Amino acid sequence: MQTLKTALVASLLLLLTGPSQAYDVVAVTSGGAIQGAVTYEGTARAASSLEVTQDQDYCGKADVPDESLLVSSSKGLANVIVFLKDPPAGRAPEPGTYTLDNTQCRYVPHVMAMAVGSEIKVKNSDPILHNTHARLPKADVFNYALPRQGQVLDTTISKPGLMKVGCDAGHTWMSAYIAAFEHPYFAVTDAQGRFDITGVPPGTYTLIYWHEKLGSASRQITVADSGVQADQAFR
Amino acid sequence: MAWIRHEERSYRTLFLVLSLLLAVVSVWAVYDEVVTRRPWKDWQAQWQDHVDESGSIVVSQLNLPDLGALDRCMSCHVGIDDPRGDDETLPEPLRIHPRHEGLLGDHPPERFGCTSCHLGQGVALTAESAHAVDDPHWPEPMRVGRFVESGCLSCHRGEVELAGAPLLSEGRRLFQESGCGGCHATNGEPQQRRGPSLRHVAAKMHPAALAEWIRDPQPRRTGLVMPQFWPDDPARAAEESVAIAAWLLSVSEPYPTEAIEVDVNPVRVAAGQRLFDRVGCRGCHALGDPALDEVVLGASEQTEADDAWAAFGGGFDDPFGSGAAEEPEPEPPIAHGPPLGGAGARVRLPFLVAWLQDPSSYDPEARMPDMRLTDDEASALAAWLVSLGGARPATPESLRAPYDPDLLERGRELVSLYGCYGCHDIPGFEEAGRPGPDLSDYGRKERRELFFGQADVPLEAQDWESYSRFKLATPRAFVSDDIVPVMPQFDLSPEQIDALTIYLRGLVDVPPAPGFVHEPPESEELRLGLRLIEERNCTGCHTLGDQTGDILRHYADVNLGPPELTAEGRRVRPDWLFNFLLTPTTLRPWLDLRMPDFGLTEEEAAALATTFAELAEVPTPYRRLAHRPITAERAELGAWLFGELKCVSCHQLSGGEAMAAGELAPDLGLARQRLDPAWVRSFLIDPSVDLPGTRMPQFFAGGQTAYPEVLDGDVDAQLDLLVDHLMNLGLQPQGALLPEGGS
Repeated sequence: MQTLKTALVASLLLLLTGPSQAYDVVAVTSGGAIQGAVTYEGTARAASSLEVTQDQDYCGKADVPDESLLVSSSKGLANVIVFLKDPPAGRAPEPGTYTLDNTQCRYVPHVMAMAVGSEIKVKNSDPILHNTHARLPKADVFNYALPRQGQVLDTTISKPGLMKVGCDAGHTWMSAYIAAFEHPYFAVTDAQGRFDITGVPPGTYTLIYWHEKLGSASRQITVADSGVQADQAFR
Repeated sequence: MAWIRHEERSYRTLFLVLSLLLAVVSVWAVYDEVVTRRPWKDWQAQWQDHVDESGSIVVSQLNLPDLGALDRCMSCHVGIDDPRGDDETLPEPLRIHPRHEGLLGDHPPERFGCTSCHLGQGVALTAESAHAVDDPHWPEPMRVGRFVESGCLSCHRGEVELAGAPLLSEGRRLFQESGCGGCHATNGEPQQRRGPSLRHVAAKMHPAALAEWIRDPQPRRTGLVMPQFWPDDPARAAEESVAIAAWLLSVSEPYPTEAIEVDVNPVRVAAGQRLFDRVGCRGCHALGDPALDEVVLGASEQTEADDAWAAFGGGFDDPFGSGAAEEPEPEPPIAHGPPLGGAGARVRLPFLVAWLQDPSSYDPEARMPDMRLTDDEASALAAWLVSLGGARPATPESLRAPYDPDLLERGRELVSLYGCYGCHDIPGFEEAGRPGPDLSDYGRKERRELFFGQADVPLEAQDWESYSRFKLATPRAFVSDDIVPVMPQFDLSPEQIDALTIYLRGLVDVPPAPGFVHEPPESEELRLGLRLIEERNCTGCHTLGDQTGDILRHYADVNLGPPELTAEGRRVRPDWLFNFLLTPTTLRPWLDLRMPDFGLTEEEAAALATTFAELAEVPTPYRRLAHRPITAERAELGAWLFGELKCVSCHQLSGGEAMAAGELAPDLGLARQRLDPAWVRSFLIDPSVDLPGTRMPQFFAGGQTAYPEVLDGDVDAQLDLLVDHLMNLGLQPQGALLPEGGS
């Protein structure tokens, strides 16, 4: 009997805490917003440009900026993905259409966040061969060759997770991140480090801030109808 | 007359008593026959109640003159071959045979009966005498539990892997891998000496290290086979191992290493370590030192991505199921070659140089392949290996020439007694055969044939299984005043002992009835190929099917490791593979890894080419791949498209200039001789199908082309054009060879 009880409790716990809880779409009538700014208090800065090791004739013509740690004059940290961890319910995610451009030997934008089901137009604006290889930790998502200037290939993102994008055609300095979510509660900070997540049903959540170089931070927040301010400082 | 009357009365009484007795016996006999001895009737009655009312109650028997068997098992096991027996509510013995479709589908009872696989007494009609599990008078008790698998071996003699009998297959593999066949014969299997040759051992090992290794091989082993000869007797171990070592050294034949001199300096040692990490040694060997064994090449770039992923998971449960937070898979032990840690204390440097240059010069049977090292590389690698393991031990007086003649005599006796020659090539023992008893009929040994000696096994527990398990775990246990067993102690886990006993139980020296010998479904060529893949440890480096190459754990990026071979049989031409296996050449100059020369015979290379084709599900391995010439017009268009797609950004073309090492892909100048055009076409459509994780991108993703103006934008036509172009590289249009220097 005792064993049965333990097993029951354990399976209930698993059900409650398991990583793959379903997300329920509900009408959000009294949603609040999570707003804030992410700052970086440290002194490190991205290098002014990346080292170009191939296709010097084209890629070496102008500096390729290093976007791995962009801090504004007021310490605002750009390209931080801010998201709710596993919200149980909320408004419907909104898949959109995004462009990932290979231009001047870098990816624009450098960091993207989107809902699962979104379409990405992978574009090559350069007159050289680029290849755009996106992978999850254990699986390739797509690996497109773009030999022609102006060429665009479409792909639909079907799985949530963080994808790392790189170029295998020798442009080892090229890098981008794409995050996909099954809910709409995510944002990427702008150049001043600001973000705005709207329409969150009242409740308590875990909010995660992720940055490619600085790792992640998290905090508990309680959202009321009026919304909540959630600033974060990385050090 | 009184006495007569008296006598009559006595007779009458006696008659009455006897009549009554007869009546009782008759009733009992009928009762016994009807009730006690006919449990099958009850079962059949139950079958009628539950399943089928129409049947009549009869003894059902299978008369199998081919097998000399009369099996009545189905009198009780009514539903054994009846789909209606597939019902879990039915009691045993009414239910259907486990894995019915596969097992009885392949072995229909009308032909195979029951006892040919399960043994037992087929004609009996009670469970007790039919199963005869505890019957000392029936020589072939039914195999129960795990031992059911043993029965397969009666007919399936030559097969390496029996899908339906995993424990038996594992036991057989262990028997072979552990070298049991070096000492024990089993139904004509050839003797394979599992240990290294000791013919030139004086050139190979430091004398004290040799004696020490014989005394106790255990501390240095990880997955090594050499057993312990004196597990419980350290004094004897010390004395006898020296005698054996002295004799082995005294008979060792010369191996020319005198001319080999190596200047051991730090630069060379460092170069050797680099070679060890990079040329592929780690596919088979570990060093036994975590600091040295956990090398991951190209890790820095990968760590950055891993850190980013781990941070995204936020240190919680992986919120996206993307796998970043999963525990790393446990690392399998490298067991193929001996561990090389501490080599410097055991092995002589000049020997190691010669061995690395050509292992077969030392031992023609060596499994170690020729790594195609230059003399310089062999010296550097050897210099690094002997730098491991500290100082070499001093040679005691007893192991120096001139040797003590008594010691030598004792050593020779011991080599003969322990049967060292069962596993090692030893001068003077070439024809000595196998030292251990023949096990061909071991599975049928009866209790009275098994000698438990003074071992502490209670009489009621003394049976075949307890004997076998005990013997495998502690081979010297069954000792008495007259009999001293010499079998050495292997390091076997309980699971390994399980598997081995199941294999041993199946060893029966009765040939299968004519027509019942199972011919394995694989051709002899395929079996040879599969055996070679295992023996030569192809998966130590290459991923093949669901087996990931062991060495890949040392590479952060699969593109820098050995190529995956799952689709190899479809990818390359069989004639090219045959030649490559015989004489490996450098295909991927950007890799430090090199394909070893395994010294294969033509027969072996052909078998491997066939096997890779079979593994890649190519229907006809030796297919003719017609060359499709290209017209001048198509050649021009093909060359233009090939240029547009910028294939040479990454690929080399023979004669082209070398490029940055990190960015190369195989030489397309070899495509015509090497690749199957159909594979090239399918690879262009989606490269990641056959080579997961490859850098090669999709050029026609989603069936789209970036060149709508070429061939009306028809993707299929463009693919054909590219394949034709590749297959005609270096040829003039219409297939003629270009003049010298053209490309």
